[in-house]
Amino acid sequence: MTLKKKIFFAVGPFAVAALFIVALLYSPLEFIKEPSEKKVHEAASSMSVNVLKGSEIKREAMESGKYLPFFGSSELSRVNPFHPSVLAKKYDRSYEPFLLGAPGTQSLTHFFMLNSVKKPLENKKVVFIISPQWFVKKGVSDPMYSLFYSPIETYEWLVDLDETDQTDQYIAGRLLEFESVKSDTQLKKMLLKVKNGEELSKADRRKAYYKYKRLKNEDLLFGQIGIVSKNKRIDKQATYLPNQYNFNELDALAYKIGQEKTNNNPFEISNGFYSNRIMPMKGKLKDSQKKFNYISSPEYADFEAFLELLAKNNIDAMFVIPPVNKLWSDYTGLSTEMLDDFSKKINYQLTSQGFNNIVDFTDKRGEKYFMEDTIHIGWRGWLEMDTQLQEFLKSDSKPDYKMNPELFFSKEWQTEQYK
Amino acid sequence: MSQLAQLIPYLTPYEKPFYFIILGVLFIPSILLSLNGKRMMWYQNFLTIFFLWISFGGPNSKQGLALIAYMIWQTLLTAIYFKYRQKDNKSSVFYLAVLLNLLPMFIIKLSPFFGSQSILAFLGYSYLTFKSVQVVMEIRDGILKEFNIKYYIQFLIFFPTISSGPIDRYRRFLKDYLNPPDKEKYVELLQKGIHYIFLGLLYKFIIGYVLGSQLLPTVQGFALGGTAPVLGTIGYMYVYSFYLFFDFAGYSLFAVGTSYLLGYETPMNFNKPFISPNIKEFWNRWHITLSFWFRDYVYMRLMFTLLKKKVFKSRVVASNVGYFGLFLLMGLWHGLTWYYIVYGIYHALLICINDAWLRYKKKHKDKLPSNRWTHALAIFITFNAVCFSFLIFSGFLDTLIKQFILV
Repeated sequence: MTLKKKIFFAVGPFAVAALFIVALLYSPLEFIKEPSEKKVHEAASSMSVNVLKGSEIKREAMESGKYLPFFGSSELSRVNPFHPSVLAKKYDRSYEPFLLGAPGTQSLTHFFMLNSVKKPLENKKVVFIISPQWFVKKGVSDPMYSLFYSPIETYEWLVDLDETDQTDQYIAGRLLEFESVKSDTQLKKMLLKVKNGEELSKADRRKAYYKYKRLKNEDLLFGQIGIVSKNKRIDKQATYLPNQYNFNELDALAYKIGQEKTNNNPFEISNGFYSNRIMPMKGKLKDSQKKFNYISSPEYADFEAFLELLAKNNIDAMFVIPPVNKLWSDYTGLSTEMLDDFSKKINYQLTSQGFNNIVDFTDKRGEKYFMEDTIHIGWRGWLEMDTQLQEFLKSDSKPDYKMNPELFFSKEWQTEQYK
Repeated sequence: MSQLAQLIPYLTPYEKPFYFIILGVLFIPSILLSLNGKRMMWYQNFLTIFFLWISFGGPNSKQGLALIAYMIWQTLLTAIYFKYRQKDNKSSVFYLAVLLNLLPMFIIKLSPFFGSQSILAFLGYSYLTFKSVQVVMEIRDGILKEFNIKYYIQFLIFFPTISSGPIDRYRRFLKDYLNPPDKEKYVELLQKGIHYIFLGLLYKFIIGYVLGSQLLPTVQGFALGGTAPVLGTIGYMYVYSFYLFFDFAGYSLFAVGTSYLLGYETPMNFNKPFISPNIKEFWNRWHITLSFWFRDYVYMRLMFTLLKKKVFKSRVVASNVGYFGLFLLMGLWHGLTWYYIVYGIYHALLICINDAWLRYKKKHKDKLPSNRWTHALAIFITFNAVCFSFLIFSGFLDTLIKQFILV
């Protein structure tokens, strides 16, 4: 074979393959159907990484108007008869919860999730469960952020930027702290510009747009893989509930179930959690949380970015602040004063800017069977939250936000205690 | 000029398929020259500057400055040590030279403990350190009779391998640098080079990408989401191991293929590691240039010292100590976290066990079967032992534990 022939045979098959891939990834993928209603319903309770990172399914869900987004983290996976998804199903509520969170998702991830569905959610309502445990000294950890880091939502945010404001500058600077973001040089270059308040050039925007388009097609192709719905579990849990909703009756039932499910330990922690998560480290945990502090954290500013997004799109939100099981915090030495200070600080950040629907459970730490385990809302907690939620959904008061980014993005606010 | 700067796509080496489009276009003159048995040094220098610019300029310009500072430091240090070595040969001065050579790397590795990324850090600094320490050691051994600053700089900043190896040897590189391949030879290199790059594209951008960006997060989600912590972690272990291989082997193929196109036979880094029937064999097939570097410049030297000074009576003990030294160092080199250190200790243990088993096998040759099935079993055991080591290496257990104790 001559050299030309050799090169031709080396390059030929590859060129064909490359053309095919390019066609697949950049073409308008009209032939791929949008996620079916069934798929969206499965995704709503799945909390799967692909659902949280992708954009198609979420967008589809929010445009249908049937779903109420619940932003949160690990508590959402505690499916018992009083979980929001179970109550909504059993009592034929007008909404189905769409769980937007998983263990490890925090405000920054929520910011991008909300950003990708902000248009269909304009003037609508959402629920947001704030974990005090997010507000640690360094904020969200790199591996955790990287797990839920969504290139498609990040590029979508960039493509949509018109006038960069303080929030965008903050978000850009924050993103540059994560390895998974930094490894994309093109993105890094644009983020540096946004961070410094510079305009993105036409070339930047074009590049971002092409990348976004490719990611969108990828999402259509692969976004529905690995979704494990919790619907079977939800249906099973619903069978334990009486057919007619009656708060007192349900509260008594929640008490009873809580009692039964937490009888192998003195902390009112569910038996499974206790034997799997506490027993292996028993003794090591006593007084282990004396130094824990949720007062100084970049999370406060990440959270502010989420609030800014709500305000810009006139979205009404109900915020829930779960307590920490007092029997447990007494054992680990976690300071309840510090938790009270956390509650004060976050409440101020919310109410001073016009976010007034706050369900603060901080003082419910001693309530019987309110929690399922150490830091996760359980039987009576979910039920209590549901009552507040119905009120919130009924009310037709319009939000009136007065944002104060100067204060709440500042280093002082992130680090200092609110007096 | 600013218009032009707008058009430069800043990319780290082999970051995206687009890098190869730029590479393909800019390499045409150089390939045509080489096909005529020539090499234009000025054009190769232009390529070097251009490709270093897109990787270390723009958003990474801080790293670019760090790279320049590093180069000045190492070049001066090595030149001074070479001058000294022609006159004298004190061990203490040699140790000092090695220590000063490693100093930038120490500072960068330690900086996370003092709160932030060091300004001295740049992509590939540890690989450059491997190359430069090697030169200091060969000067000490008297193998390098000459030291030419120009050659030395060319060796260190050879751009195809700058960010993650493979780790070439100075004398091997110099041979190719001073003797460009003739026509016949170059046609062969060109063919191989193109083949390697395409294989790399399959490895890194197709297989590695699907594994890393689609499958890995899914199994990770199962493990961390509480759906299936144990199964998810086992799934993560295997997916991550394959991802690591395809990503890194693909990357190494790019580096080797690109070197070939320029007429340099940079050594291969991987050779079907997952079919190794024992752990020693595995290290001869996985990240080969790193293993051999550690073998030649750490293990051998250490063994020589231990045996010469009669620190240990038995060879077996000495070699086991040598292995622990080697793998602990390798773990530390990856980074100062518990999981890299455990990774190193774990591999040292595997090697020692493997050695003991081989000694046992020698004694009981007649009693132990050796056939296709035992060979398959050996591969299976080695593969799983290796995958478990990668699970440690990935840092995933650290994330898992941290999440687990947050109760």
